[in-house]
Order: sequence, then C-alpha cells, then structure tokens
Amino acid sequence: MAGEPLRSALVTGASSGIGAACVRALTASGVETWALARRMDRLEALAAETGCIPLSADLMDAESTEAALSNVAPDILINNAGLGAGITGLATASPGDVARTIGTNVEALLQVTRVLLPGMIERGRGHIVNMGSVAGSYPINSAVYGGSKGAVRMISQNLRLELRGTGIRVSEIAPGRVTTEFFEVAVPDPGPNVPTTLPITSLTPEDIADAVMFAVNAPPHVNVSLVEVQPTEQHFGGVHFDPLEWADG
Amino acid sequence: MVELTTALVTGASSGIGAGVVEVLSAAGFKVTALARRVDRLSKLSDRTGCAVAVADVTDPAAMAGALSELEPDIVVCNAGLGAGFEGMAGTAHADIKSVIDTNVTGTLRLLNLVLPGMIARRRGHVVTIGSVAALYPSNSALYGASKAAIRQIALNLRMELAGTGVRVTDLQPGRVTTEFYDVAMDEEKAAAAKNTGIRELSPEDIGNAVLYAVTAPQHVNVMTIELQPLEQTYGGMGVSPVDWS
Repeated sequence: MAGEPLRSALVTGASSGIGAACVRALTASGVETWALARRMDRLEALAAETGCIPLSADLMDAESTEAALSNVAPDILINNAGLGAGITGLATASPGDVARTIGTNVEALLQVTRVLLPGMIERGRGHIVNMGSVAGSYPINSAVYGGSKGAVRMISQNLRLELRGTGIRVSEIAPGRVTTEFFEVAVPDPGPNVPTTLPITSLTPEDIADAVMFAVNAPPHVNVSLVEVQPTEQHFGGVHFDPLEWADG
Repeated sequence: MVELTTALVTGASSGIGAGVVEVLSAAGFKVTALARRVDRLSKLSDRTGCAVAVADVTDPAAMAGALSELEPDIVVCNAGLGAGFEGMAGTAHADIKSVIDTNVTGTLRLLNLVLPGMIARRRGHVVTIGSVAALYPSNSALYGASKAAIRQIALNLRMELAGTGVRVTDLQPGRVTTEFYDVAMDEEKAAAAKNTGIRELSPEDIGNAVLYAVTAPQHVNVMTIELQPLEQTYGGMGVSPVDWS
C-alpha cells in the first residue's frame, strides 16, 4: 500500500560533510539511521552524538559494500558518498583520480542502489535521494567531476521511470559550493589558479540536509525529483572567447 | 540579515497562484494577489487577508499602474496558461499569441517592472512557476516552448543579478489539480485530460515549495525545485512506424 511512513534511512559518505549533516537531521526527526563510511572512528563519534548505527565499508570494494549492506533494509537511501579527484582537469588527472571519482560517484552509487532496491520494491516503499551537483547540469570546467554528476542526473531520472508503479520515490539534490572537506581531498596540492576557498558565504552541510529533509518530508503523493541549491553569491554559465594563433595568419 | 516580508503573486485568482497566496499569507508574509478576476480576488482576500491588485499581465499599462505603488520583496511569476495541446499543426494563431504573451512576455515585462526596485533596495526574490514541460517533451511544442523560456529566464537572471543579493528560483511542477485543462481545451477533452486516476499535486504543495525557497537563509539560493506526483513520470521511448509506400 502506498503512503506508509518511511522510518529508517541509510546514508553513504556519512563520516563528514553533507553526509554527517544528513545523519544529524534524520536522527533528529526520529528516523533510525545507518551511517556508512570507511572511517570507523568518525562514525563512532557520530553514533555517540546522534544514535545512528555505524556501518563500515569501502564503496570502491564491491564485496565489502555488499557485505555491509546484507543486514540492512532502509526505507530511505541517501546516496551521498562522492569526491572530486581529478576536478582540476582531465589532461592532468591520474588514472587513479578518474577511477576513484567514477568508481565512487557513479559505480558505487549504482551498486549500493542495486543491492537495496529489490527489498524496497518488495516492501512497496522507499525513497532514494541522490547527491548530485550543479556540475551535473551546467559545465563548470571539469570533465571528470561534471561527467560523474551528469551520470547521477541521468541515473536519477531513469530510476524514476524504472520504478514506475512501485511507490518508490527518487530525488536528486544538486548543490553548488558547500563548505566541506571536498576540496582538501580533491586538490591536496592546489596551485595558484585553483579556487579552494571563495570569498563568499558558501552553503553549509546543514543547508543541504535541509533540502534533503524537504524532499523526504514531502507528503506521500509528492515526489520532489530535483532541488538545485546554490550559494546566493555563486552562479553558473558564461560565454568565453579565446583567440588562437592560427597557422594561416 | 535581509528579511523578506512582502510578496506579489500573479495569476492569483485560482489554482497555484491562490495556493501560493494562502501558504505565504499563513506564514506571515504580507501578500498582494494580482489577477484579472476581481470577484475571485475579493474572496481570496476575505480568506487570507491579502491585498488585491487587478490587472492583466498582458496589458503593459495596467501592469505599470498596478505596480506603481508596490515594492514587493518576493515576486511569484505565476500567471500562465496552456493552449495548443492538439498540436502546432492545428493550433490557432490566437492561442500561440495568448500563451506566449502571458507565460513569456508577461513574465519578462513583470520582471522588467520589479527588478530595478529590488536591485536598488538590494533585496528581492524572483520565483518563476515553470514546468516539467520545460525539460521533458510532453507533446506540446507551444506550451513546452513557453516553459523552457521560463527556465532560461530564471537561469540567465541568476547571472544578470550576480552581486545584487537578489535570488531567483524556478519551480517546475508536474500535474497539479487546477483549472488549467478547463482553460486549455474544450469540456470533453478537458474531462479526459483530467482523468488521471492518480493523486495529483495540490496548489498547496506548490505553495509549500515556494515557502521553502523564500525562507531559506539569505546565503542560500534554491535555484530549481522540480516536483511531481509520485505516480507521474516523464520520458520513455516510442516507436511509430510510418507507411513509406
């Protein structure tokens, strides 16, 4: 029967940033929450603070992931784990950068969802919330990261169609710049041209958790399929002209 | 901290517009409801305490007059309609004119009137009511084009307004229970179009999405909210064999 309340959640990438904020928001609203990440020490601290259930797994390792998910049946899945290795350009990215960004942002999201979907379909209730990015819809000058989040955009949209008639909701939250460890991890050695900090008030992880909760708390007949949320002081787009020196003068 | 306290809602006499007026009024905003039908606005005013402005968004002089005394913090560009759902090949010129005049030109003209004040006061929030039809083909070139225009108006305004602090949000609803189809087509077709058998969005659902966007902290710009009934989806693939003989 459609409309049964959603009472439990699993958040990936829960040890810090947006994921940890989602865990705090969900537990505060009475949702039993599994917090999945690699860093068990951080998860234990979060568990002590929020009452969430820590779940240790490396999403780049399919066996580890499947084992960690074998005994959980969340109503809500927050596919948050993501990173930006190689964000400063494909030409200078390492093979590992490409593998980690696509492996985490795209493949692991698909694998976690694949493992948990059959149970949701059987129970006739579920809500999948994918953490996308403005980079999934607007070119921000990063083929690897933009490509990974563009994939998340299409995964979200196509899942909506695949799940027709099941009562399962699919939402995507597409943030702009958020204050997290993202850039420290993505660009450990930033050059002078890489804006790891910006002179604006960025979004906080709590702002993103608010968007997640707006989608999660919508009435049962409503599917919030996309929330794009950006700093007021950040915008996207532009037109560029870059004259070249031409061989024929 | 910029606190937004006043709002103008166009197309407010029914449907989404009236729903937005009700939600914003209940949340404590001082709302002006603008539409053509004064009798409906009076009833809405009795229910919600909103102020009333009577004007047609396609009439430049009337709009300039209606807005001359107003300095709204929030403008919800909601006035819109659909027509031409029988396909471009069979659409009357008058329908093309009325959809583009209302949905696109009316919105641009309204923004043209309110933005200078918002920029000067360094406070403002533009909310456009777009549609899922802006991104996903829904079998109406005319309506889809008008809402795709709204999408681009909102996205480009974000750039034009960079550094002003004025926020822009585009709401893209799927099916909402309103008089939309009664206006868009004849009675028989409207009855068929409305018979979805699903739980549709209500105007209040859209009002709540507007409320979420306008009450976000000032450093947060909720750019897009796409929402639709759980039981409605978009896309798919069709094959339609042609007789090539």
